[in-house]
Amino acid sequence: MRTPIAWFNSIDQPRRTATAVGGMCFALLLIFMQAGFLGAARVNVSIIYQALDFDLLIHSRAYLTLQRSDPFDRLRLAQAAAVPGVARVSRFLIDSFGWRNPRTGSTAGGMMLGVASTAPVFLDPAINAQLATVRPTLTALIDRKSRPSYGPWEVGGKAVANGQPITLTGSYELGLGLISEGSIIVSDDTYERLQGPWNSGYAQLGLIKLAPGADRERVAAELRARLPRDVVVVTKPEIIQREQHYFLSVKPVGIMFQVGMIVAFAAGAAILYQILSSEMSNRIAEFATLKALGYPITSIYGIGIQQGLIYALLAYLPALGLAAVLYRVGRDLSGFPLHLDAGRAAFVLALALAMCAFAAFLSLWKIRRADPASLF
Amino acid sequence: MWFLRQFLLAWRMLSDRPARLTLSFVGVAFAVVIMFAELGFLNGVTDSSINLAVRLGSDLVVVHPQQEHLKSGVEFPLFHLQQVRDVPGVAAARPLYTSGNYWANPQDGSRNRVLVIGVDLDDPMLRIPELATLREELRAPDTVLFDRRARLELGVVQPGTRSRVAGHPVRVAGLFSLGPNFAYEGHVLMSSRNFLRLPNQRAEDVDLGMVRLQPGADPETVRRRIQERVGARLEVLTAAEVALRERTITTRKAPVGIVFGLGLLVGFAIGTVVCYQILFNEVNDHLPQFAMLKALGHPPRFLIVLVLFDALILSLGGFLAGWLVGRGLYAFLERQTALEMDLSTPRALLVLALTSGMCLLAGWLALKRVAASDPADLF
Amino acid sequence: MPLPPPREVAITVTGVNHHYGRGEARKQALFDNHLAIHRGEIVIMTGPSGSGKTTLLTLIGTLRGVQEGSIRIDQTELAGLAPPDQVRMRRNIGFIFQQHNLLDAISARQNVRLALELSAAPRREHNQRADAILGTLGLADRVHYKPRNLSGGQRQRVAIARALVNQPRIILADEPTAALDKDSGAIVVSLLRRLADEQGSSVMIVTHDNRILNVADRIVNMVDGRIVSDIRVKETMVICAILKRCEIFKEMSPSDLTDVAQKMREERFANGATIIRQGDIGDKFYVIAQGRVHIQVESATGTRAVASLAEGGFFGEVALLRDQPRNATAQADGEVLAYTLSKADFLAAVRAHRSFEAQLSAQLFHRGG
Ligand SMILES: Nc1ncnc2c1ncn2[C@@H]1O[C@H](COP(=O)(O)OP(=O)(O)OP(=O)(O)O)[C@@H](O)[C@H]1O
Ligand SMILES: [Mg+2]
Repeated sequence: MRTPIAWFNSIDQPRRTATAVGGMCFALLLIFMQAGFLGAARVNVSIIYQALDFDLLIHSRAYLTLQRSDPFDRLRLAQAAAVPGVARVSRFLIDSFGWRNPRTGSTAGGMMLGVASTAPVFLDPAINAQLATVRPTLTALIDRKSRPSYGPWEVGGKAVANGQPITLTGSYELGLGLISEGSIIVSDDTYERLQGPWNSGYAQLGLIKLAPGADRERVAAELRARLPRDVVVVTKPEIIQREQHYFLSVKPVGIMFQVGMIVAFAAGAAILYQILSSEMSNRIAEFATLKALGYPITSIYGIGIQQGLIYALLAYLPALGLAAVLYRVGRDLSGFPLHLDAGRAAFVLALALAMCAFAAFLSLWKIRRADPASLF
Repeated sequence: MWFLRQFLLAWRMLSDRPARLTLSFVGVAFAVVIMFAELGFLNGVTDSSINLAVRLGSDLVVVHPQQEHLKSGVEFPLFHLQQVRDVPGVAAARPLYTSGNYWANPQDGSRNRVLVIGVDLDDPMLRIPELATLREELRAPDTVLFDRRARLELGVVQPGTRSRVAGHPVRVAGLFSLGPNFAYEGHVLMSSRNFLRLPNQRAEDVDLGMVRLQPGADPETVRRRIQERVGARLEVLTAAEVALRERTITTRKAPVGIVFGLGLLVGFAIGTVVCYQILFNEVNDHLPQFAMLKALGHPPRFLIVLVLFDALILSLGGFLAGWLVGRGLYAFLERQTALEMDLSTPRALLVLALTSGMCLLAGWLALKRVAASDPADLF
Repeated sequence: MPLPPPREVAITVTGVNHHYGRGEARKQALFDNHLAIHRGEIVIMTGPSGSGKTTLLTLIGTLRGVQEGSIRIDQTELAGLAPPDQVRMRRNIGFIFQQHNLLDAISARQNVRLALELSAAPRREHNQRADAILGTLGLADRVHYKPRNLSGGQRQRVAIARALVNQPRIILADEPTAALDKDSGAIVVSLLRRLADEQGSSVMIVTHDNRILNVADRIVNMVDGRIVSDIRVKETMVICAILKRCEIFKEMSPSDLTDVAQKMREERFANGATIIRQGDIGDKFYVIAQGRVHIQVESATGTRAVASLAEGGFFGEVALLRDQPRNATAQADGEVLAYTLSKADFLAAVRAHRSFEAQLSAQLFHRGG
């Protein structure tokens, strides 16, 4: 076997390598954090849309985001239902509400989702199956992933929503994370009771399912042509993309996460370059020696690149472990749905390799300059 | 001037390899930038979260006990405020109305969330000078003051611009400065009379009771008296406590605050490790020279001062570069988010202290190697 | 004393100039150098500091490109060699640097293996061969040490082991023994000697170390970028021994003899070859080291054998001294090895050494012209 020079160079001065790798490891950790939050937020902001079963969506022209949606006249739903290709139009109501646990007296915020108890608008069949149980007014399904601030509750038990007592007839799993502390699903009648009777003339969203074989774009165009200008028709991917865009590019948090990620990447690359190039210049005479021994330049470059890779991987592995811990801490502290999935691990690994490529590329010219004639 | 000589020697040893020195500066600078960035994020969040609280000009503030923060919208009945007014030592108690509402962008009609504030024009108890200078204009129906530091999404707004708040037409009488925060993209100020003309606003539901004390009255005593008078139905806070409450809720409870708090910790960890690594290598690679200086008969003190100068030069040079980049980064973020990114002197000094502290610590650790370096190793 | 067998030339340096720097700073370091190094020859190069020794060494070692002139190693011309070929060329060359230039991060054995890994040696032999040569250099118990834990001399020996492990055909060394004590210096030198004798390696050593001059076959002296003398130590000794047996040199002092011997060149002639021809312009003086030579004079009456010279005999002086054409023809009788002196060197020697002149006159008189 060939002597793995890069490896021996890397472990020759363990302390030096440890500090070098430490800096990079933290930079990767920071990327993990920012990417984790960014990724979680990206999924999170559209989580309700992801859970709903629809092809096209009607919302008010004044709509900003799901949490800040403006009601529009219910009549639009009936008008939409008359358009050919539309199989079903469901009214969807959503607003924040105040939760109170009568047992502990604790209060919390949350989102209240209102649907007709006959409309299977959720993708999860378990939720649709339970909708029949909320037909009686002042009954609700509760999100099992609601925060601990909701206090202990049980199916069949009582709770207070917007100051009125409700009965919990079932539960489901959604988890609103960043958006809100928890959620409940109620029938449209209950919604009007809890959020104010003026809602009866309005819808917040119209969820449209297309008839089999209908062309989505064609139906959307038809709807846009027929419906008055106070509402807007969008497809599911469009609305999800818009929600994400709003969070990532308009809200300060999204911008900061992205800037933080770029800064961490740049810092990681700079640190690796700093390490690698000082390593290269310390060993310049050794590279010259290898040249004099007759090693081709490519295999000497190889040593530099391998060393960059070794550093990047040595930094990546502990960063991965630390990220798992920090995700846990972040999750416990903030209730934010942070998860270390393979995609994210691969993404950060790719960034680490990109840093390595960048740093190696810049420090290789040092190797090229190594002059065997200067050895004598 | 013995130390000047050493300083020059330290400088010469460092600048002997200019490319290497530049690289070290760059490394430290990046560490500094990361620290500034993470510090800026956290401060951007917390500073903006208290932007309204720090303008409260009253001696005491009364709120509903369940109001966790200024944006929660938990209100208390107006008549409690009348009770407060009767408490000895209270000079004035005025309601302040707030409502999270929509502002229509006058250019494209898109809506964004703003915090609408209704104040008593005669005695607003808010540290916003435009309330006094534009008082008469604001008495006209449906006139407002608009936040000139609001986010760009709210549109270009000048005095005289017409738009809508909560669907209600208004005219902008002037501009004031407050800025957005994580909940709202900006603020709109108006007289409470105009505020109550907005849809769904009732004079009886007060968000904040602004209390001014009579000259010489002791705030603690008055606070206790108010508490006795209204019982647990109201909570009495000082303006400083309101600000603290806002800050705590964002840093401790809001996911964002926690995220940036963790980010700051990691950022500082990077900074310290990188400074350490750079200085340690710098000294390590000069070990033969140090051994030679020792061989020449220089006392240990000479070497210690030399290494510390190394540390100082690296941390100062790196900090300076990092500070410049940090300023650029803050300006960029300020433009993008409209949040106030304040690179104040204490914050800069904190980063400087961390940088040079780490460099000095690394220098000190490296010194042990210098102390151990044997002049005999030279041969 | 036996004659050295005829040897092929391994390195030929012809008309090499070298400049450093560009434009204003351009400075010539080597001036028109000529040198031929044979297989199995150890050449020691000396000269004052800055005289260009290292420069010449790096040119021969393909560590620098040849600018002007030509350097051939075996059949390969180094001038204008493409970089990949340069790299391949270096694998045939063992370098011993003044600084050891070992890789710090790996052990002595691994450092030696670096050279082996480039060779055709089977992989499983790598460790064994590395250890063997380290053992030869007295480092058997240090194979796993990293350079920083070795003494200066030990490091240098590891570097030498690395240079020699592939038994390269050419070894270039710059002050190899500077860091070594007498004994390890001697071990290194005898190892080099053995490689030269057994493998036919050509060794070129730049040194100021007098202790190792005795292994040299030749000593080349360089001053101001020029090779000013090229002493073939061993060959000169052989020639001296032969010359001493010659009548005409017998009275010469040893130092005068060495002087003449150094200027002599070896020439070989096949059986029956004409060495000089009557009537030609004379340009050389010959001393027979081995074999017999017939001298014949041709005249109108026919060819007449004048003499048959054996080992130690000489001829060709008359034409040089009298500035006349050759007065006889010399023909090899069997294989002949002769040492020759050019006309200029011959005349200079005659002028410089009275005793030589006296002997020559006596001989001339004796031969009767
Ligand atoms: N890289 C270089 N650039 C410019 N000039 C050089 C360079 N290397 C050597 N020289 C010059 O070329 C001349 C010959 O140098 P060289 O190193 O060959 O000398 P040397 O005989 O090996 O000396 P020493 O015995 O001191 O090692 C010197 O005058 C030197 O200054
Ligand atoms: Mg030299």
